[in-house]
Amino acid sequence: MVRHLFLGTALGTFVAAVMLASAWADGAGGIVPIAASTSAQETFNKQCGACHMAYPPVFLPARSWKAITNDLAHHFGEDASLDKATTKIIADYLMANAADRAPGVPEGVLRGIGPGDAPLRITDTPFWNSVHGNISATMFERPEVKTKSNCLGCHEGN
Amino acid sequence: MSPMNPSLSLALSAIAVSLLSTFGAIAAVGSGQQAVIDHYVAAAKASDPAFKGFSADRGKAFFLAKHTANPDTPSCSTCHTTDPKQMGQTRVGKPIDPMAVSVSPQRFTDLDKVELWFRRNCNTVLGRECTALEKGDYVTFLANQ
Repeated sequence: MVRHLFLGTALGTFVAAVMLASAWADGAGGIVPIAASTSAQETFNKQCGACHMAYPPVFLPARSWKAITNDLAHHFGEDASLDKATTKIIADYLMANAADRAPGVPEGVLRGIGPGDAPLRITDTPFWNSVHGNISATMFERPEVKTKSNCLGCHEGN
Repeated sequence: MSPMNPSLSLALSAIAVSLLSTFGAIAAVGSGQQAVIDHYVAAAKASDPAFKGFSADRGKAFFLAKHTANPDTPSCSTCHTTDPKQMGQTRVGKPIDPMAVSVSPQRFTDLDKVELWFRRNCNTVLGRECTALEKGDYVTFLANQ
């Protein structure tokens, strides 16, 4: 797996904290768990993580997660639908831990997203682009990366 | 054990060969997969009284077939590759365990999971749900791989 100095240092420090998904840095610099049920997070990891990385909910506002989970039958060109009960567990988990609801989220994550905007891709947000803007297209086209949606093609994580 | 009458033995062999040619090498299918196949046998019979059994060859052709509903995912083999014993990959690069039961023994042992993925992937690739015959052929093919 390719490791870039850039990814491994300044950005890595921030993203590593974010990518814990269930945790966020508190005011004292430590890591505190988000008050979401563990089983909901496990359901999210298992179901959504079957096809792609279980994207950290903190990268999109709750209205984005609502729009995504409202139409899983048409999910970026694929039918990813689940039964109603499982869908609700995942939707509630994602919205509770979203950028505009989780505690202590840096303002920068929501920068440039208007109150009426509900971006469906993390890679469409100004925040994502601000920290990936200097990466060439060929980096994303590498076989081990394939697409900007494949965070783990470059970043450590699971 | 007493020696078997040669003509009886021959007749039994003929029946066995006939059964095998109808159902493929189902004798080798694990009990978990067999339970899933039995579910689709019942469904296939219910929708077609003339149902004659599943075919691994038809399942293979279905697995490799190219469809037109979705240009990004024209075939099962788009993500699973044309060799079911190999790892596959989702469109965003996540590895998929091989579909061949000889390599992934847990495949096709949980009917709910099988039904979930047939519903999603048939809708994605074919733009419709799959029939019981298509599902049974597909499982029969991969249970024998």
